[in-house]
Amino acid sequence: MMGNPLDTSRSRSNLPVAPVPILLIGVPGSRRTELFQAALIRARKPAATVVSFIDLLRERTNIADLISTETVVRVDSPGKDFETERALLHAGSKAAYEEHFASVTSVEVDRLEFERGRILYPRQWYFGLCKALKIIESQLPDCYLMNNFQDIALMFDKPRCQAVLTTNGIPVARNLGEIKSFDDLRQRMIETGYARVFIKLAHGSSASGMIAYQTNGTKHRATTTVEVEKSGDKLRLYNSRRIRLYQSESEIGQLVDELCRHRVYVEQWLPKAGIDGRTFDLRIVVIAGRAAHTVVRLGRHPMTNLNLLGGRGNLEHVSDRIGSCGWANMQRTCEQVMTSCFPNSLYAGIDLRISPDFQHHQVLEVNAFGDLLPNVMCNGRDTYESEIVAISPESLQKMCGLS
Amino acid sequence: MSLYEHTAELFGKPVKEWKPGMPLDDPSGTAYRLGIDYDEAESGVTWDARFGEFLSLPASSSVTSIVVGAWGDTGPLSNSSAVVNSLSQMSGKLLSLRALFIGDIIGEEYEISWIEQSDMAPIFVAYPELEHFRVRGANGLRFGPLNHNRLRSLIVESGGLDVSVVRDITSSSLPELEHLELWLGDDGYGANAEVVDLAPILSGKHFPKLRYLGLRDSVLSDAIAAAAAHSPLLEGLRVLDLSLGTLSDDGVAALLASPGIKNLEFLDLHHHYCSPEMISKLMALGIKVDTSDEQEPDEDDGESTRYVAVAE
Repeated sequence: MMGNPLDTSRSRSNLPVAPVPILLIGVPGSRRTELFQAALIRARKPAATVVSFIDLLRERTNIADLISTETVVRVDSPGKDFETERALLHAGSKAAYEEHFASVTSVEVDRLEFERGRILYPRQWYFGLCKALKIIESQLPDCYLMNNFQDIALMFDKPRCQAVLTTNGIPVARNLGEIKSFDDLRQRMIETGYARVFIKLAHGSSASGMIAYQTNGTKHRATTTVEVEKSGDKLRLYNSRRIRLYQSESEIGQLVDELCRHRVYVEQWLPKAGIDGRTFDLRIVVIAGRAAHTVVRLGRHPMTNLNLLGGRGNLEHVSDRIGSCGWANMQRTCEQVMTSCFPNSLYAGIDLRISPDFQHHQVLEVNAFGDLLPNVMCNGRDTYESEIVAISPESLQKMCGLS
Repeated sequence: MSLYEHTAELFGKPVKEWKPGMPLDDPSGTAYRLGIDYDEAESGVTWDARFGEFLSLPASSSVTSIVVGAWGDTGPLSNSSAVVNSLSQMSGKLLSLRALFIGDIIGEEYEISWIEQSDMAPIFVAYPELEHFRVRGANGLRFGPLNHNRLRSLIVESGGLDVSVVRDITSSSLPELEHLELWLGDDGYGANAEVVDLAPILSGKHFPKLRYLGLRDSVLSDAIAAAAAHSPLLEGLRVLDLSLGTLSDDGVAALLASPGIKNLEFLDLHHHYCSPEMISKLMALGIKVDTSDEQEPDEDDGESTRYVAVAE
């Protein structure tokens, strides 16, 4: 068990004498990068050296030249930056080509134009992310990591992540596995008896490419962030901030089939509790083994997600309903996720579902880059600053191989 | 809109979620909620088992109010007939039951239009002392007609009420009925009653003790307002509730022209499509009016549509 990350006296005694230099792999100038640099200033640490995913992937920069033996590497989200997305798609093109999921060649990547919300090739993107991690690893065989790279890759492979959580006894929604098509989905729903499911992209972030689907055999209802548009004889998928409702089986089938080209998996749709006239779930950031910053994510629909502008709810109202014992259990679950499944990672953002009677909870997602919660404080520090002060040789792992 | 939270109150009493092992320490002041949470259904808990455990507590005979939540399915929700039957058969144990809500189910569990109800008549036969009854979901719902001498409140929540249910109620004998609330819903979800079907209610003769009339969540709000405006019912009514519906300026104009409207204590119009001008005229009536939750019509393909609050 690790020490309290917010116990500064303990952290301080373990810190190297020199200030900790941080190498940040991310998107220069992005909100995340700026906020992280600001947190370093507040923590009286030197600014991080920032290397972009684009430079990293093009191997323009030899990052080994930028570090010392004390350097701590933080890999942050490639975010919504289109050029970065392109660079990742380039990097993932070879691995994606060898599979049957939707992919594009490097030449086609160059021809892609930015379209707001378009779901490009999440499987290929994921391979690109893994490639980036491998490049860092090969250039920096011996440095400290805020988050272990195998863990980051695992968190971005949702079906595999769910399996690891299950193996470790973490409560999760029951998994119906990966599906190939809508027909396949219907068959599994009949076999399992489930009437309500979530269909998720295996490598999506936020509520990207998510469908909440229910049927009783005759009626069908899908609420989703996904929009389908015809482009020539092909379909294109877009994430929309407007939630769409589909009630025709053929439309839903078409949507699911299209999404399946990008690798999807299905889990039971567990009903969520409501508070203050909305549905909610919780985002809990665990830092150095302790559940810390917590946000109530409100929504009017099954996709409760900050990026969907659902808004934040009152944490006290929720904790009052859950009760102190239930709250402690819930925090313990989140901490167990990190200590038993990701012991070599300093932090992650965990999404937790609370049952309508406030008595049960399950882990919905573990987000490697789920620590962007601006202005949410815990013991006077935001998430980034809490992570920075939690840095100590014992809380971090040295580089270990990415499988 | 959907329904997001389990009810916190039943006819004035706070609701407490009852789980096995919990004592019934306030049987007359608390409404106990019996529901099988999805997580419990997954682990095999059934309605019969939960209800049986509740009844095994001696204090259950003093319980006055019960809320029934989801009755324990992980697939499509089965209809409520098993719940109705068990409640009816066990009326000899629930000697003090006066208030009952069947179907405290939120959209995250089952959307209102997916809740399968059944014939509620056996409840009213088994509980002649019942005073308050509330039900959510109208698929398969029937009432009899009822012949009940104690019932004071009847609330039917739906996203689309079939006219057969309206007719069951308007042909029922409920001499003590003071509070009637019907969520009529959207025609896309099965609402098919016309204003004429509500005439027995609006006549003021059928339920002479009616003090609260809610014709809510309706696509017919304007027409209902026009009919209600000239209803003799207004003489005795304290609350007219046309909330959650599609009320527009036309309906408000009819209400403003009504001589009886000022007799009301409260006019509930929240969730409406009225203009600020008409709202200010309503405010000048001198009675309490709720005009919150103003809506904008949905403009799509050149068509303007006003939606009710709860349909699907």
